[in-house]
Amino acid sequence: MTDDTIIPDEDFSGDDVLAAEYSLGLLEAEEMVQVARRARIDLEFGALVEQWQDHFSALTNEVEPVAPPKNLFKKIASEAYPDSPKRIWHQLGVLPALLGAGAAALVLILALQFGVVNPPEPTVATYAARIAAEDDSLVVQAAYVNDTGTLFVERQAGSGVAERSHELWLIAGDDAPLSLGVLAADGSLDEITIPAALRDRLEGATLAITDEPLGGSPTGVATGAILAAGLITVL
Amino acid sequence: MHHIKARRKGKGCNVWLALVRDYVILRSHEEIALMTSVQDIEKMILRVALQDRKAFEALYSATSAKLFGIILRVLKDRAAAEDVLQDVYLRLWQGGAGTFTSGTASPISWLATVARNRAIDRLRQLKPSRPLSDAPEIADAKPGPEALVMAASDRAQIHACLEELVPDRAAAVRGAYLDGDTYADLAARFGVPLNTMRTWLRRSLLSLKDCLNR
Repeated sequence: MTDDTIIPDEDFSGDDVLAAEYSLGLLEAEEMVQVARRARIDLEFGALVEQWQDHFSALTNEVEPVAPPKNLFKKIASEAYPDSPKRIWHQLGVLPALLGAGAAALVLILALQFGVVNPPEPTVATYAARIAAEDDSLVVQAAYVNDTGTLFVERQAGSGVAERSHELWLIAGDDAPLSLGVLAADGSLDEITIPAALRDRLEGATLAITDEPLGGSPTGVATGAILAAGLITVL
Repeated sequence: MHHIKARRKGKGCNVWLALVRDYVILRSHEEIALMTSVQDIEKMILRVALQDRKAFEALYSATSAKLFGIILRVLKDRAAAEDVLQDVYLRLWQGGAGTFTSGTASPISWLATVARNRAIDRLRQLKPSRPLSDAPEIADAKPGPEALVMAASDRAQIHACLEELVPDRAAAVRGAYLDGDTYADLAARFGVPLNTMRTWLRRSLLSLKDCLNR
């Protein structure tokens, strides 16, 4: 028999062929979704699919492993673990602020609607600032939560210099810059408690970062170059 | 102490630290490769379901290269493959690992299936609407060791059964599974009309089924 012969009693309508075609991914998109649903509801059919998938999965033995990029697990962990900086930014609805304030507001609304933000204690940022160098060689994201008086700060781009520190300053109105502290050397998330007396002065003020000796300016006055600055905006 | 401090200054220290780090990572990979058996992977998946971060990292170390290879083979695009790999592990962490029924399939083939199916979904631009695994939502009774051995021999069986097919047909099945080829892709590759391809492949699948049931 040649393969082209049509065999009269050939029947491809059985579940076996359907389960196999589904397992191979040969069905059209719509059918794919329907069959996926059936596999979950129809125990017998689901078992067929599972059998096929189990058989076919052995074919992956012939695929050479490829090491994924080294930093990928860190990325996964930062999405997965609730206390990771990325999740905190998400919960604050601030991360998208990098894309523009409009998008941030939209995402915040979406986040609230779909319950991404923890419902019991909705930590919502009141203000945000993108503290950036002119050429974006240093970008630090800041978000302020009014309820707790906490300013979250994390470096998104750029790096520090060995034996030097990045110091954060609040410049409100015509007042002299006030130090808010030295940022973490590795750029990881910092939580800074803003003194009660300063909280009213944040709106419309500027946050700036200067290059200072290790541990920060010894005099309480900025001594080094201004590396980055950004306006505090209301979310 | 002085020389350490000197090293910390300037660029040299970064290179040195990176070397130390790579060495440590390499060592831990080696150990994991040596130590992980099928049972270990299974334990890791079960622990990941309980939100054990160490197990999650260990599972990633032990299995990510295999899964990345599978996904990359389907998608043939590194950025997209990284994305899907990330999605697979994230979903495992976010409850997916809990849908693994220990003992039914080998944990490695389960992970391979999950990764491969996600890659296909991406290739077809399907929304990931299907759950992580297609198994019916009722847990089976846990099979004993014999069943596990059976499952292992099952997996070798597909190779033997593909051997029984005309080589082109076996290549078509492999192409569909490993490269995510559609009927149209396969028809073009083997230079036959779409319907002929469909008939060929379905016939091959029935032959495979006969062989696998033997």
